[in-house]
Amino acid sequence: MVLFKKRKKKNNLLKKTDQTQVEGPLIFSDMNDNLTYIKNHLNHTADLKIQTIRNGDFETAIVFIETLVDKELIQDKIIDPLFQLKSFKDREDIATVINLETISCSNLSQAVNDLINGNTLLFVSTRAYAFSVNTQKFGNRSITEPSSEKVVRGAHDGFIESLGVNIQLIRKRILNPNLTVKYFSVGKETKTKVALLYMNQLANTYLITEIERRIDSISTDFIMPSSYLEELIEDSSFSPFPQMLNTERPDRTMANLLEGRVVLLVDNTPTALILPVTFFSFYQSPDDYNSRFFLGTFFRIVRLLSFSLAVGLPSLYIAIIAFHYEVLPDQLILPVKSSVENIPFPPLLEALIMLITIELIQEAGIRLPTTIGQTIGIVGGLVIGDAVVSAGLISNTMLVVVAITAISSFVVPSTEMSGSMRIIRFPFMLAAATMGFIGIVFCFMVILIHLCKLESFGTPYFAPLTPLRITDFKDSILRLPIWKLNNRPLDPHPQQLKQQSNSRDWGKDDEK
Amino acid sequence: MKGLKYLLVLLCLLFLSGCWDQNPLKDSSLAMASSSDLRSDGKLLYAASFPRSTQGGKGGSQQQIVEIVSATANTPREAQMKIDSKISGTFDSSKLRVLLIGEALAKQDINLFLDVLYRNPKTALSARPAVVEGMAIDLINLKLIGGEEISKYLINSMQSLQDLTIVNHENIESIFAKMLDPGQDFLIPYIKLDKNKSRASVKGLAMFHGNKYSGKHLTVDQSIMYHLMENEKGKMARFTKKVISSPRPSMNNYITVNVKKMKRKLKVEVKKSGEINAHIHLNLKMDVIEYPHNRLASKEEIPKLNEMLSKELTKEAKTVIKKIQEANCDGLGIGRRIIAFYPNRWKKLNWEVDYPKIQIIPSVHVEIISHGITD
Repeated sequence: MVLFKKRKKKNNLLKKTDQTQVEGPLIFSDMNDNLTYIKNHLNHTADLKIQTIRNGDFETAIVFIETLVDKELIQDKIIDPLFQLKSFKDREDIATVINLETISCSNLSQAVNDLINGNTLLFVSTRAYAFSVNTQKFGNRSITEPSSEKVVRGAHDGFIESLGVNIQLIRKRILNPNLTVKYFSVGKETKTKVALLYMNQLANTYLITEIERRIDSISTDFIMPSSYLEELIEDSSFSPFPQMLNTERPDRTMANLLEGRVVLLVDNTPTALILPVTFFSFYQSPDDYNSRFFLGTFFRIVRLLSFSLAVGLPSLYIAIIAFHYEVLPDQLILPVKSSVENIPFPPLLEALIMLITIELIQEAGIRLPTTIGQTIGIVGGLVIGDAVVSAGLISNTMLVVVAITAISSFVVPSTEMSGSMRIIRFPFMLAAATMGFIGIVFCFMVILIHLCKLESFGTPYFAPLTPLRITDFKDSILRLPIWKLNNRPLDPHPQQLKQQSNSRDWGKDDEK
Repeated sequence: MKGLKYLLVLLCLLFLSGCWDQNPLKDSSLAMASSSDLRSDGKLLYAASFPRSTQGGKGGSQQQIVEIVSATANTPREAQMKIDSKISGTFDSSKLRVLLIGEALAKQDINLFLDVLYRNPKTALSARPAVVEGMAIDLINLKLIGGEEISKYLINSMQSLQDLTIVNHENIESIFAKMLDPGQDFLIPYIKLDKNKSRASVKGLAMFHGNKYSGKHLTVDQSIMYHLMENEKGKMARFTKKVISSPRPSMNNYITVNVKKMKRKLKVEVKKSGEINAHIHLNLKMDVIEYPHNRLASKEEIPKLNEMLSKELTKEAKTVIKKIQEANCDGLGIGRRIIAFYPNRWKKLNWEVDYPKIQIIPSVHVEIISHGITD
């Protein structure tokens, strides 16, 4: 059944491409007419190569775009066999000689299209059809560990810019016929290939139809990186929180697929989009599962703590210094007071200056080569940090607060979430400077209401906290031992909730 | 245009936020200790100590200077306003740690001058009140070694005394409840300046009757006993008692014991005749921490010591009871119990008059359970 379905889908795909190419002239029987048509259609582009071979009783023309093809392959698998072919009677002759994926086509527009895709066209004199041979070759980056998602233990491969390779990396991990791929072509001009991956009997069917519906409605000239796609299909674009998980790690992608989530891959992008996701998925890292569960749980809790630190610490400091210093313990108040005593700025401005400086250092550092990047780190971090205090512009305590804030915002394993934390902190600071603790509470309320209301493709974003489902804490806020996680999380509404029965049955046998 | 308007509002928020109602730490002068005295002309002499730090530049080599400012006024608030005009920054009592009250003022209704603290929601309710023998301003003006701030000195010393069960943890919040309670009184530390005026020492507990200082205080040993009877023990409660009467060397005659575990039973009974009796039974498990005579290994010695100590300590307890009844200070909260268990009897009582007359019978039972690592 599953196999059948899959095949059917592939057929659909083929039909689709056929249908789009129905318009256009048929192949002429005169070979030169065909060649002129192609040249005109490709605007006499310089990398179009045409090679004619006269051999025996027939003449062939090999047409390809040299920047897209594997020339060695053409030489070995097309030209050499052709020379050995002495006579040409019908299509089968060519097909047997050429050991590559070969389609014969009769439509010139389609032929041109194949050419653009990196195929080689083979025209035979006086025949009104052509062969399209798959000779694509793209220079691919080697599979390396993604620099933004490094792990200590575990697989060190990452997605690259080729869709085929990326799907292969996933298929390699899930040897299951249920893993289904659906292709879409998005972008009127670029026709970028987008792949939708899911586990057939696991992922929610409503979810898949919804995603298909949303992708189908995209009408744009081009989508560049996957973030275009993300913005075009996500629920709330104006939310500061990302509603899809970006990852470059195949292992993370695989784990999410098996939780019943859906993966979107865009050609030429090394990032997989995972959806639907919850707030807490951004605080999970493959490292949690690679280490012992005590550590995994501990780090998860530390990361969640880092959220409140990164968002709340500067505002808390502002509120204390500007409004409620009576909450400071007796022993702390004098050191803090003496450090802020001679600062010319109000606390809000002081915090803003420092936080914006940190953002500047970070922005400057990202785009610089690593050798200069270090200089930025030293100048920015050490020189500014030290000088700003000794000049009496910023207080020591403020510097500590800003440093802790900056560090905590980098703890999150996902860069988008860390970005949104950096943004959210500013309204918090403003509110703290206007109303003190009450302002912070207001801001937290607004954020909490927003998180509770937010949905990612129909699943609650703040699950398992709202709606509360304590059993799902096991693998969201905590990371219990693997054998405790018998059920998948409920938030993507998988078709089967159970993911394992007792894996440690051997323990019982030993007792007997 | 609409967007521009919002942007303008946001910008205003950014630069003007909190301008009118912020209470910045750097603009305030924190009073850490205050002293209040009654002058002979009936006016209040108020002083506060403000620790200041001079900017030592880099490296955090800040120096602490303590500034003590005093003012004479009719009320504490007026005095604070006067002080406010003398200091830089606004007077702030939210970090007050010690509240020193001169003896003469304490004998008046102290609620009158504490009112300003209870009215202000920012008041540090954990500030500790203490009665000072003579003038409190002399204590706050004390020059300590190394320029230590007086509140730090007093708080640290009170905390160590709390471990020794000499001082209780009474603060201005807890005394407020007791001030309003007719069936309970409070005791706060009684501090005395040394003769050469270089140190201050806690001499015991000042006994209050209602809102007024009775003028009498318990000594240090009596304070410990009082706390034990109140069922409050710090980390340690030590007594040094004379148990042997051989002439010399006199050090040989004493034993020092520490209360390890204690049990207190306080029973208030109202007899049919209306007579009120309170029985306080203390069961103390002791640890000998000093006994140069050293015969603890012998079987007869320990029961003998138990008996002697029980007798001595019961005597001590009786003195304490006598003293607090004389001062009309119901520190043990016996009135509270009568209100709770015998409300009808309470209605007929005039506690002011009747409290000193009731029978409070203490009994102390001592049991030595350990004696250190030597015999």
